[in-house]
Amino acid sequence: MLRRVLQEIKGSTEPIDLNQLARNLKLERTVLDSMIEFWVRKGKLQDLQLEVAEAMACYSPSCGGSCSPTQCPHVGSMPRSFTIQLQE
Amino acid sequence: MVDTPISPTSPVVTYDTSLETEIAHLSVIIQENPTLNQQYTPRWLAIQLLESDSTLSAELHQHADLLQQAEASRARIIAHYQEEPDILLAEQRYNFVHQLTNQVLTRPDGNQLTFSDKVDQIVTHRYWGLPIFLGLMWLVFKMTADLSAPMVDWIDGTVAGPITNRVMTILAMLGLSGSWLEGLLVDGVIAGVGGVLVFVPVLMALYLALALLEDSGYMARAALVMERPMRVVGLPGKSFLPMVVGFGCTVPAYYATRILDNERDRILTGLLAPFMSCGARLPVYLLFGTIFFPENPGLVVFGMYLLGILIAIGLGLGLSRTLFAESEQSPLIMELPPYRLPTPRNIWMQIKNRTWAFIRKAWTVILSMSILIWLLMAIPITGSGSFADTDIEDSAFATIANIVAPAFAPLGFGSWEASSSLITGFIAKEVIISTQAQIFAVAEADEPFEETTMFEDVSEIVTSFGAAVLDTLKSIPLIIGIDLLGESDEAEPSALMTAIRQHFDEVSGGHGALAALAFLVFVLTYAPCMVAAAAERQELGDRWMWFSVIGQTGLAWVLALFVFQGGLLFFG
Repeated sequence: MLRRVLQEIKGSTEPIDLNQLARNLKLERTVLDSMIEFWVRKGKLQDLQLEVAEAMACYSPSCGGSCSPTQCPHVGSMPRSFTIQLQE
Repeated sequence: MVDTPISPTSPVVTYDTSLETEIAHLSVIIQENPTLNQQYTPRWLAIQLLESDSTLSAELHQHADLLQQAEASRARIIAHYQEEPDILLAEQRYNFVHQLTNQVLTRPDGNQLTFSDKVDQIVTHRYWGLPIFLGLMWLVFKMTADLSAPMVDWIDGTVAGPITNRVMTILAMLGLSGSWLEGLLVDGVIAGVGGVLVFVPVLMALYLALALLEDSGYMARAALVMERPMRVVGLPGKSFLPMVVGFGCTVPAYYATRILDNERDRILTGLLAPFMSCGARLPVYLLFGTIFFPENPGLVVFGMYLLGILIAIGLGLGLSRTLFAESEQSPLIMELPPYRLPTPRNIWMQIKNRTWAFIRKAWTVILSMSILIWLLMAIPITGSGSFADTDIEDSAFATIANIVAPAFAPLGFGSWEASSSLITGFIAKEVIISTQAQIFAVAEADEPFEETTMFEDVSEIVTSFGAAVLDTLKSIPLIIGIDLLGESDEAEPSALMTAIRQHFDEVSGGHGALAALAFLVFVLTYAPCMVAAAAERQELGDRWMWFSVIGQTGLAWVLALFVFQGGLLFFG
């Protein structure tokens, strides 16, 4: 089931909504969330909101001196999104 | 319904035989060690070691033999399954949970669509999604222009009236009337910073509209819709994130390109991000939209934002087929929150944080620039004037700007007044407004000063504020086309607006609106501000920074020429 989630994401040609993905795989949404977290920890998926916030950590004027994605006015309102981690 | 009762003492998850063999092997070693056997449950510790729990491995560094055995077990598992043990173990736990929940849970029809799903079928539709997004954006800018106008007029009137009067009265009391200090404070600081702060209500109205869309859950859908054009351009879907950040500010947009996997995507996204109109350009669009297209300033602002996106798409298509080869696409998964009613607290927090970032910039960058510009306007280069007592045409500022002004003549705004604001706009785009406010304030400095009392000033501020609030409320129906503001309620153009209108009409040979449109296209397209250029240099390197600065300015000149000269051909 865990690997099927990754396969489903890799095989997609269109952006996928997490709710839709949970329905497709007949999974509880909370279970899917924890699977996504697992793949983020394993480095197979990128948590984009988190990475944008980290990328902007040194840019204080825009984020009020904070690297927290919820406090940066330009990033806080971003939808939570993930993507497959590609190798450079 | 529970079909099979589960004993709390039995291992609830049973893994594949090969995995169980290795777990059992490690469990025996752990059980044989009295210290470990007492401290940990053997099976649990064995699984953690197979999953490479780094914290536990560090704690168990004295048990080198156990760690060695665990490593050997991991190697055997990888050889057998061609997969890492932690993935296999997690996979089998999830399978177990999935089977268990299927046994004990009765779900309603899993395919039943929720309200959010039904709305999403329309707003994120492959073909209708984009027109709906553009329609909503047009509404956002219309709302921004309509709702903010009374408050803009109020701040403008307060800055130009009571605040200026008060400062001049205090200076007169100190015997400094007519001194250089009066010029610096009134024509430099108040005209410059005040000229930009006037637009705070505009930004607040924009942030209100965006916060409504964000808090309702729509913006996440808009991001999904924006993802598709990224793919058309040959960029990975996640490039939409730096682009969306670019609508707030270009500087963090450059930093956000770090999320992209390869240099090609980072550079291409970085080159296109400046075409997303940042918040600093909004006051320029709105000021010129209000002056030259008073019937539809919101449409002008919307048009500029849309033009920026279209230029980025066109350039992206061109660059990805020439300088940059196609790169691998990575699919995107997004959290689409359910639609909900926006909460006042969330909306206020978003408005406050974003507006505060703008005001902070006004007090730092714009204040410094206003003082510098005033100094340059106070120093005479030609004529017989002295410091702070010279004709502005003879000042160092006008002399410098006159060098580049002829280059803008074919674009319809070849005067030192217009070109100087484009030069200072390289420091920060808001400075375009503050520079013009200073230039035209100095030009009108000979107007008589009406001395007022403190009481008169305060009363004027309070009464005009009440009127502005009332007019703002009356403006709300304007969003759906109902005009409750009679002609008598509509504000007269400010002195700055009148001066800009007259100036553009004069310098363009009577085609002020066309020249203003060309000016706006130039502002949209030309080099990003100094801080953004520095961020671009840091992220993409010197070569691409210069490519961007020179390339964008060249493109801006060509597009503005096309707008002005093309407009003359059609409407001239």
